Amino acid sequence: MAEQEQGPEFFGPGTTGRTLVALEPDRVEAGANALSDLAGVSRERRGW
Amino acid sequence: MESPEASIVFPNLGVAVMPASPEQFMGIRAAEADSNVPIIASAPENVVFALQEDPFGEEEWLTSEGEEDETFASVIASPAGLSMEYLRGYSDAVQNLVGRVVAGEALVELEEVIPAAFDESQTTWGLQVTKAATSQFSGTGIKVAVLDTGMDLEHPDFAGRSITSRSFIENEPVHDRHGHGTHCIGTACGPQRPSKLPRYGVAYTADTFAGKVLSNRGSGTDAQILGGIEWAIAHGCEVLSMSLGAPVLPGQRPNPVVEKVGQRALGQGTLIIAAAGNESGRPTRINPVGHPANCRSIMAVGALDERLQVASFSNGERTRPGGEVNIAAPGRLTLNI
Repeated sequence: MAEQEQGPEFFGPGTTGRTLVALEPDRVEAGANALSDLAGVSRERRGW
Repeated sequence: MESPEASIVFPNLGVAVMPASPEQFMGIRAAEADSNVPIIASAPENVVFALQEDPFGEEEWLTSEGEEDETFASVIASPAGLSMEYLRGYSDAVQNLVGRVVAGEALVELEEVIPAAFDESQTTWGLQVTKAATSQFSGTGIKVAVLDTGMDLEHPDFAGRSITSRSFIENEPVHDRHGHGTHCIGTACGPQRPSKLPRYGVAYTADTFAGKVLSNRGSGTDAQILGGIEWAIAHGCEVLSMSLGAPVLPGQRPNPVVEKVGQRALGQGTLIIAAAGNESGRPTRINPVGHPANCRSIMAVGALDERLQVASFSNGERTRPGGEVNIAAPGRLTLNI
């Protein structure tokens, strides 16, 4: 199986490799927690 | 925010920025459909660039000392100091330019410059045709934010003016070593009586907010722009101007996250204005309005020449709702500081 594309190439030229996510404005903290879970990043390691 | 590994949340905008593998990105996309998860939309983060008035012109950005800024020359001479962001942006720009030259389209930009039909001894042609030169309004009580490469805070034309500034570029102060930001602030908020005629600024008594969201090399990221937008909203800026962007493909839908940001800004009393983009080669090629100006909630500004015709380089989407130019203004051969 071909190696899966990683990083900016996956998103196309001119992108950084990061993702912008719009959260419900009244539930920003809950949304950030959900993103941490989706990304598999612990609360201690996440940047927010 | 410079690190591609950095994650950040903008609580007042309700936006998060995070690195994501393709699998994680697809997971986020799937979560958007789950009503129990407070995720509304997602999109890749873009690299954005300062938009020069005429990308094929011979603009020279000057410092307050009147000397040509040598930032680019010094950077090129020190390749080891180049960031990945810069290299990526440089590569994209070169590829775009080469493609246009090969297609013969760049020659369209080399059109004959028509003789000036305006007497610019006192005011620029732009101020004349917009009637800003004789307007009773000067911007008093209005907070105008310009997000760009920063500002020459020592420029004599802004001595004594209320300037609030902040840099969102790591390891770079607000001071503008590129020149584009100072140029844009000069057009928006330059003085009624500059140190050297003609007058070039519109809102000469407005409170000016200079946000540095593009590096001295003229590039930045969506996250850096979002930082500037959140800052401007927090200060109660009624107008937020961005002469920056990134090209998009024909038919490419606007960034849904930035669209939400535009809506939320409007809800808090801030109108975001962005340049439509300068990558066209009219009449043979008209590029779509770029990112982020192609968002419906952001006012897209096109450029006019001295004949009040659409400038040859100005973008304009005509087929997709929300991607159209909302307003056009003088944007060619505009004298400035």
